[in-house]
Amino acid sequence: MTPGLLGTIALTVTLLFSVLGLGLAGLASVLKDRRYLLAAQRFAPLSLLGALTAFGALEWALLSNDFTVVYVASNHSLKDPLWVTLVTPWAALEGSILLWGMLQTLYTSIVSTRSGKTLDVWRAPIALATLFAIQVFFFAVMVFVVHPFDSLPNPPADGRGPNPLLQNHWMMAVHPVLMYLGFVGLSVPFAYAVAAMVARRYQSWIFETRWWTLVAWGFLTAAIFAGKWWSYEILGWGGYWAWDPVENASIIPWFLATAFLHTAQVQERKGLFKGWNFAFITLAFAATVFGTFLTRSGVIQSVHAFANGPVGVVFLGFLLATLLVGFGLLSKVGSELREAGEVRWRSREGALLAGSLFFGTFAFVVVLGTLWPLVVEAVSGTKVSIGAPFFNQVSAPLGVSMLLLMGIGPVLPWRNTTAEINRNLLAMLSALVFGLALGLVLSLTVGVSLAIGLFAYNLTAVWRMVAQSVGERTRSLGVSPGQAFVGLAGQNRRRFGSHIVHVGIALAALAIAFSQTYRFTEQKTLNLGQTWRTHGMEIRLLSVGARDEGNRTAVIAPVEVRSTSRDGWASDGLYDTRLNFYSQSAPLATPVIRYSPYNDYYFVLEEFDHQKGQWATLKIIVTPMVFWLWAAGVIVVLGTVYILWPSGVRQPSRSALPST
Amino acid sequence: MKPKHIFGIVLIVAALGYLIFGGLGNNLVYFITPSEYFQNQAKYTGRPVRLGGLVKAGTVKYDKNTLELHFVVTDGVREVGVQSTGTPPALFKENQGVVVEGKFAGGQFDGNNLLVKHSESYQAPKAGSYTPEQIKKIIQETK
Repeated sequence: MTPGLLGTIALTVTLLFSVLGLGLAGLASVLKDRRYLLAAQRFAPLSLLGALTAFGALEWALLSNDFTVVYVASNHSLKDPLWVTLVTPWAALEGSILLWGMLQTLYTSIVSTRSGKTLDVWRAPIALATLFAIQVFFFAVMVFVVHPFDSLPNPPADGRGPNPLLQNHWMMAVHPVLMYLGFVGLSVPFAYAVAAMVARRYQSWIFETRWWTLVAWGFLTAAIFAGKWWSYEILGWGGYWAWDPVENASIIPWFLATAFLHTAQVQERKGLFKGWNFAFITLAFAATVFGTFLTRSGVIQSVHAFANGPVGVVFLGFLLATLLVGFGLLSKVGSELREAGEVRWRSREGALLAGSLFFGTFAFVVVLGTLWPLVVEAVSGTKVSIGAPFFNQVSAPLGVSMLLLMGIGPVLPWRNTTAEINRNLLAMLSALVFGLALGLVLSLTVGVSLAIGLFAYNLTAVWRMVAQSVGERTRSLGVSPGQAFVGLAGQNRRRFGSHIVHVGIALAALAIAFSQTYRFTEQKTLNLGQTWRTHGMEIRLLSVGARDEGNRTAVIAPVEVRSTSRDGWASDGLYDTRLNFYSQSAPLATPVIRYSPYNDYYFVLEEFDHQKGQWATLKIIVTPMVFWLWAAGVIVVLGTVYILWPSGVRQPSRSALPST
Repeated sequence: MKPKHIFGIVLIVAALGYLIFGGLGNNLVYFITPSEYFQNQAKYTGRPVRLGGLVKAGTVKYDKNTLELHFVVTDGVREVGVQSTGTPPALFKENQGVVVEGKFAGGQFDGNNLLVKHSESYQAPKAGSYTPEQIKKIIQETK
């Protein structure tokens, strides 16, 4: 048995299991017979097993250097270190689809074991059938279109190795997996939504998918922050977000999932926005497919531009099918959706809806900007691109509006405003004005001052909400404020977790405003021993030399830095600036970065004396506050984990929920 | 819905529309080859464009003191001299596809950003001559 054969068999068998699962779940739904459902549920773990075998076969092929497999020959090399070999399955298209399909079988299995308890007999078969159908799509793609296990008649003695960008940083081992966990996770709420619409039970799916959506959202958020950090660490331009189509592909589902999370709360509490929720979750799931279509079809130029192939068309078909199912069902049942009341704008539900609409708008703008080059080309035949300035220009007002709403929303009570709320709003507004004025007094730009104001405004909102509920509890139970806080934080995980997430987002906005506004960049060629004084630093070039590092050759130019004023605070130290040369491509400049809460110092080796090693051209980038962007990412993810963390208190209340 | 709400919504939508479509128009960056530039010089001079082509062999000159990089971009038919400051010269090779962002000024191209290709299916182009079609393809595959 060779890995290629095992993999091919495993893929085919998994496809078969998925088709059988789909068929049985469909029968269960049509015949209303529970036995078929039980049979269908058995195929979920079986297909997980099949997918794991296929994935294991690919790892086996890579680890045993089996260059008869095309994927191994084109993405693996004998020189690769072990960790690179282990993550090579997602170095290219075929392996990525396999990872995606495998994670889909994982989610389907979990849903199938849980759905027996949480779903009624009318909806369970449909939710399961939807997930099986998605699974059938992915495994059919692998069996008929992209073939991860194609074999080579004349295998080479050694392969080309994966894309150098993948080998250059360990984050590439983590980021794609997080991204796919997020993408695939959104298939579960979508499946529940489809089931809800088919079975005409429009309310309860919201409770059941709350956990799933938040899990997927948490993974997406972590993946986006991880991707930003990777870009910052590797690409050598000192930035972390370029509105590249691939980045856009990750942010679009995030916006839509965020919109859904907010309107879903209103449906949960008030039975409102049922139509919006069906629409948002369909769009969020479709956006994950749209992203793959964008980046894999070659229709859009991108840093990550991948080879053209039939897979783009296939994904376009899947995207259209997803939209057709979601919106087809919605238009069919639309007239039956009864809203349980009216919405006032000046209430929490009003603020949540407005916030979600902004998220939806943001997603729409990003889609439009990403696709606009195609429109222009179709109309006038000229090739154009839309630069980052467009996205930055549009995201500034949208971002400010959303930060304003983020502060107000949780402060407003459900249904209507009350008088004591106005005091909170006044406090928040004062914080906003104070922060803005402070920034202007320190002669910062208007944008950055506004960001400080908005940060203060959001912190005040959270502070007052927490302080008031702690105060009430202290008075009513007669405990100390500390005990009251711990008690509240333990009981109201969702509310406290969302406070944590909101603080993280406000901090991220602040960090983005500072780092985008005050970036200092300078380049200079230094001779050995020469000192360069700039931005509060003395930089001295020590040497220029080459080193063989197995799968790459590195040119290393260490520099010594001493800070001479506040601008260069915490920059002291030795930095090995380097260029990595991989066999198959142009060299990669790997920046060395000193992180600090004030400034980040970022050194890039740009060029060096190839003959004698007497000089090197260096670039330095000093960016304030980027550190806090990564801190914000950690805070947001921790806040999400805090909400999701299983607790003894909440378990009974969940199963006590109405089942229809 | 009260009239004032409708008014507010219309206002927001109008502001967004202006922002989006005004922004799209002002931020279009044309993607051209040297030949396309010479076909319509007036249209492309003085505005941001992306110039794509191959780095012509033997034309790369880097002045380490002024940090100025000169090279010639060709599409096999016409060629344009590119001058750029602050471009990392180690990041590209001769006879390789490049895309430079910048402006045409005084018969040469002032580049301010060099886009390097990061593709998983990357293959170094073979040295030698290319037909314009092949070059077009290389440019399209390069960001």
